[in-house]
Amino acid sequence: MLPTPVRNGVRNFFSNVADLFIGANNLLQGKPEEALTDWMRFAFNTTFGVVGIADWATDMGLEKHNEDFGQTFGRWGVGSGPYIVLPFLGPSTARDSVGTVFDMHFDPVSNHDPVDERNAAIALRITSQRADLLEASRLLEQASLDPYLFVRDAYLQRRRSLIYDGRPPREPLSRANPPAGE
Amino acid sequence: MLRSIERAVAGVALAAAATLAGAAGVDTSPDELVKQVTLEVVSIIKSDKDIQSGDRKKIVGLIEAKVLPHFDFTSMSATAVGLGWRKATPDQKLRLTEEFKTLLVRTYASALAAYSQQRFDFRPLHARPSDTDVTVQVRIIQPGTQPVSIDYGMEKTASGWKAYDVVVGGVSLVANYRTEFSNIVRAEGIDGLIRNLQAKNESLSQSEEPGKK
Repeated sequence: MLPTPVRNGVRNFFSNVADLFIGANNLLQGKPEEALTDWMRFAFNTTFGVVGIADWATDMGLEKHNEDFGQTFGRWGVGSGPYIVLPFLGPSTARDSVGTVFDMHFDPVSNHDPVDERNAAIALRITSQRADLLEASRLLEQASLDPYLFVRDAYLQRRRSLIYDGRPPREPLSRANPPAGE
Repeated sequence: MLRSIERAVAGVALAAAATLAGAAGVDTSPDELVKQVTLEVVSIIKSDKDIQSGDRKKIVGLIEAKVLPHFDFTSMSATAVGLGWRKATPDQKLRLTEEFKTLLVRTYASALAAYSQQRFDFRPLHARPSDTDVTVQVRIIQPGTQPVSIDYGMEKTASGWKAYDVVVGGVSLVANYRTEFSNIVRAEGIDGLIRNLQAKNESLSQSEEPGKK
């Protein structure tokens, strides 16, 4: 386990690299303003945040987004397809797996040369993401009677929410909620 | 040290009781209520070394005293169980609600402990004064990751606003239990579901014994 400041720095660094690619996905989804925010984040954090180790853009009110090719395909109207659990990568769907292949193909870290630096960077990123995931998966396991079903349903709900940027059309699941006047 | 924590917890319990008893709690707007309760609980967590070092009993006690009175657990249980709820007897409903409540409080306590060091952004409420069912939005801002959204589905009752669902990062806690609950009810009935919840809660409370995290 790495000390917290180091962990945050590593997480911020990879988060900053990802912002370039998140902006591209926002553009593909027809959201140029969000794309602009992502690239402004990248510009600020790369320079003032010392190659992205500090995330000052968040403090300045430039919000971090969450986008990938799976969401872009979903935005274009592609259905999720069956739920699957991928080795090493965890919960996914047919659509999101194809998205992941595209994500990897366009990922700046995976395309980095020389190969030994690239491999070291990928290993470090996986370690950083695992540390964050551990906390979340402990919580899910604690909360559920059937972890497989709980993780599946949470994944599907989460992806649906992400595709609609947190405002999915209401399902008739819980209650009829009057629109909150947005 | 210990005594000051006991005093803090007792104070919280008193404050919660006072809020419940007084008319002030009934008149508080839902977004104001969420803000008050969240800030108060977070500030207690921040000033309590025991909770920070993983004393689960203490944080569960804090949640029970401070947060629990503002939730409608009967409604949450009914929604999570779905169709099977109508066939349950009043006694089964009571026992099921009690077990589900215990499980949710534990989960909520862990989540809150994990996020207590972060910055909270309380969103303005978009609702008319006549609305009796609203969504209160809170976001947790953290560097390097997308903010975590927490939406509270809240309903106006005779004893003030009560939350009937918590949606974390787009995942409705209550809706997420639907599939597993209905599977168990189909196979083992309502009593089977109650037994499963009891077993889960017992195994969780064993891992909370002092000396363990």
